[in-house]
Amino acid sequence: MSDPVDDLFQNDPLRPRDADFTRRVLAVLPPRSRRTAGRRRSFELATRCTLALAFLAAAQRWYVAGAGSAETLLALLLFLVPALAAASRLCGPLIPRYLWRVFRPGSRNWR
Amino acid sequence: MLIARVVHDDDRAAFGELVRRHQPVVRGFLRRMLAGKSDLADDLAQETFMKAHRAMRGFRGGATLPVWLCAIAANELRAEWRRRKRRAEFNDDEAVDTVPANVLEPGDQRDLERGLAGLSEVQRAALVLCFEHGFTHEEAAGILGCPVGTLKSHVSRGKVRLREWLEHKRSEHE
Repeated sequence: MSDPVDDLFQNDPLRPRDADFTRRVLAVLPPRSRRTAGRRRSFELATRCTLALAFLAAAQRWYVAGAGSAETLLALLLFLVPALAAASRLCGPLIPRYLWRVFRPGSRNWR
Repeated sequence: MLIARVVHDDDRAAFGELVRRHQPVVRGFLRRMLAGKSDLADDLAQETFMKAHRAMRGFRGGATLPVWLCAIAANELRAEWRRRKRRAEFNDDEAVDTVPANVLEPGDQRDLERGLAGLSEVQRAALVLCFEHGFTHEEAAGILGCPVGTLKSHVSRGKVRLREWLEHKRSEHE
């Protein structure tokens, strides 16, 4: 005997497909990037390396300043936060998604 | 491979083919969740594909593409619900537009939609993903961002309520 819930889903499938929707999605995509994949990867790598070096330099400076100075920490954060935001915008997420999931365990908020 | 062409060459034709192939799952899921508000569902589906296009470089193939797309769609849905809730808080005149709560109200049209309207959103999502689109429990749990055990419980409770609704409807017909 078949499951009535299964039957309900099988008898009334909802799978809309039309060419208009595809065209609509393609029409709103951003303009094509002129950079080639190789150049883009080089750019990303260079940005990430620069960021890592900047972070090391900042950490060294903070350490030299006594590692407890609130003013230095504030100054460094004022530099690092926009730098991280800009790099993340240009190169995608700085922390890989699989690592990010480690910090967000548990269920999502379904009402 | 289509994904590689999209990522490496920004090939719009390849992305169009991906949209053509996967729109039934994404749009179907969103339409079911939004209970027939097809315009809004299609807007969210469009946003889903745009985000997928932006993030495709990060797609590592840990999940299948439909699973990944549905996870984005589920996030879009949550964001839409949050926006509506916020708008409703600012404007008392506009009620939060949710699925009608007239549980177990049998009718003569769109049986499945009426039956699903009586379920909680997460139960509806779980049933639609598993029964209508054939995702495994693990895949559906990944899409909805909940543990597999919780997902199974939503599926089980949702099925019970749908069965009750069907029996109630049948008894009224007889």
